[in-house]
Amino acid sequence: MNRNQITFLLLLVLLLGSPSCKKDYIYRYGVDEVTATNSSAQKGKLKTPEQYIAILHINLYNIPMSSNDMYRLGQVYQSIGDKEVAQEQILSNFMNDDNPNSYAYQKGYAVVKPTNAEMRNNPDSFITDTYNRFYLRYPTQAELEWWRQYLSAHTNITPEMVFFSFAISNEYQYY
Amino acid sequence: MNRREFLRNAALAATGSIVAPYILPSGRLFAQTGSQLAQHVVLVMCAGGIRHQESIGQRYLFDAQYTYTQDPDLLDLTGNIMPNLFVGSAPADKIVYGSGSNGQTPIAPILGQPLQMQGTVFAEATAGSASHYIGLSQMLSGNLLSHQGLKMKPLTPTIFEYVRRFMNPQTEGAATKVWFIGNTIGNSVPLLNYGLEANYGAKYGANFFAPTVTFGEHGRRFLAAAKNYHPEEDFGRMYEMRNFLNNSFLTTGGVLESLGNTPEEKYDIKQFMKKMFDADFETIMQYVPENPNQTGNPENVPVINRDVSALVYATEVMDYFEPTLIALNLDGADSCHSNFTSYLQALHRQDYAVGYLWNFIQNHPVFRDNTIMIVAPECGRNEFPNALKDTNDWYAYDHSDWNAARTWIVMAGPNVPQNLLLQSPGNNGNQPIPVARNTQITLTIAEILGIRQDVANAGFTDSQSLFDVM
Repeated sequence: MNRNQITFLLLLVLLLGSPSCKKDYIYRYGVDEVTATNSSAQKGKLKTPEQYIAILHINLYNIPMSSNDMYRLGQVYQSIGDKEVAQEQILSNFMNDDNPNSYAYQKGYAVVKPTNAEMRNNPDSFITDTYNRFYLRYPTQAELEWWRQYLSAHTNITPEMVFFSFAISNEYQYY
Repeated sequence: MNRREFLRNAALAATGSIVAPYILPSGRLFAQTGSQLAQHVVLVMCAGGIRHQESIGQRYLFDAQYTYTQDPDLLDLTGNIMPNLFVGSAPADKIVYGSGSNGQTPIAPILGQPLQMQGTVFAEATAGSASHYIGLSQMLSGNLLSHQGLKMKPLTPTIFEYVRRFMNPQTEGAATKVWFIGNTIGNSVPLLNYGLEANYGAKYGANFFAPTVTFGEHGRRFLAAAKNYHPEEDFGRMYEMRNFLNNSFLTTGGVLESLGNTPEEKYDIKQFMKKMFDADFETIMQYVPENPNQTGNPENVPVINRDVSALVYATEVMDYFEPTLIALNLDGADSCHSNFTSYLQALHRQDYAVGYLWNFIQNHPVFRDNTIMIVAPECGRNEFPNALKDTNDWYAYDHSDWNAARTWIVMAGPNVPQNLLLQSPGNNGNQPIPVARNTQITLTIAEILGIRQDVANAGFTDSQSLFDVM
């Protein structure tokens, strides 16, 4: 290759690589709203005590627990051998939000829950919301049907009792 | 008739308790295989690592400090700082282990006669380990656990599981008849209430409390204001709904491990917790004497430490549940890593706690003359100190050498020979030959409760019990 050819090639490369007068495009990105739900089949990992406590706190009060409180309650949880008893005792306290001696009352937290009338006026909505809230999934048709019948047959069941049963259930222990 | 035959015959005569067969809910015939030497067993693990020298050796400051400091005030300064356990005079000088200002006042012995005179002492035993957690695991599982890791449950079954599996599950072997009380949740202690062995595990595990946590400041904050749900009308329904949810989850998820407390037992446990929260701390500790004049004095060393507190709560558990077996873990002596003075105070309080417990047993209608208590450290401490000194300029001790495997065992109660001291035959100035092993404790408890053969047949434990070496 002679000198002229080399010069020509260099000029060509320079020409092709130089900035052109292209129009700048403005890209706009967005996020489509998608409802993310879980399936019970995907829940294979057991929550740690701290995870259980933190998630329970959010599910009941819609407020995250402080890390200090989570650590302390985690210790209390570990100090009780029967974990079913431990969870029931913690829940019994969390639910007691109108007792001045309770943690919730002192923190100014209240369990976010519908009234009994609201639950009974629209049981399908209540059941679906509760499954979403505690299990991050929708109820199956069979589950929905069972709850409709159960709530209809037992007029003394309150939203609090339903929440309690979800929070001590096996599925709630996993994520 | 040898001592062993005598013990067995005495037990038969005393209890007359060849237990009648019982049909399990599964339809399997349950029949306890042996006779019981006592109806209840209390195991006190004086843990935290206790040096032979300052405890049963009664060497106080002479061995541990004079040898290394050459302080003439400590020359020949020996003495017994565990007067409820052992026979011996208190040190004559440098009293720091007591209560009150700078620990100058020894806590008055609570027992009229040391346990040594009321039972049998294995003066030289071996832990087979210099580690807290492995040491505790060995005492509870009767196994050297050579593959046992830290922060994991015991690899082989614990005595809790044997008791619940081989005794009548509706009476002596019920979940609330088997308890483990820890003075802490540290050192993986809560993991010790059952092991990982298949066919045993959680469903035969012990109930557990760490009372200083469960009923302490944070426990009160998070648990004391529990809503009072009705056990049948409320909990009955909530369990019904929970059972439906669990059945749905069965198809895709799993079954959680459970201690198997019945709903009635769970209710009982909650009622017990309520009782503890309803009573204030001072009321529960009312029988532990504190010097009222010392209150507010920053130099005051109180009688009640974490060990004493946990043990007093344990007596509340005993009074409420009347357990067949209860094991207690006390670990205050672990302060010896950095503070020898604090370690001496912890030893003295562990001794007080043991005395308190034995006194409680002897004055309780259910446990009196019907309970065997076993007391032993889970491991010892080193022969030589580390470099740390406390405010008295005394050296601290870790646990890693041969001396850290030296322990002792004290046992008292019905069918246990009184005033029997089993000492090492000596070893020409070398490491003393032990007369007992900590791993023998598991089979000893099994023998006391009449399930020795079942436990031995399981094949996980030391083949001897302490009765075999008497």
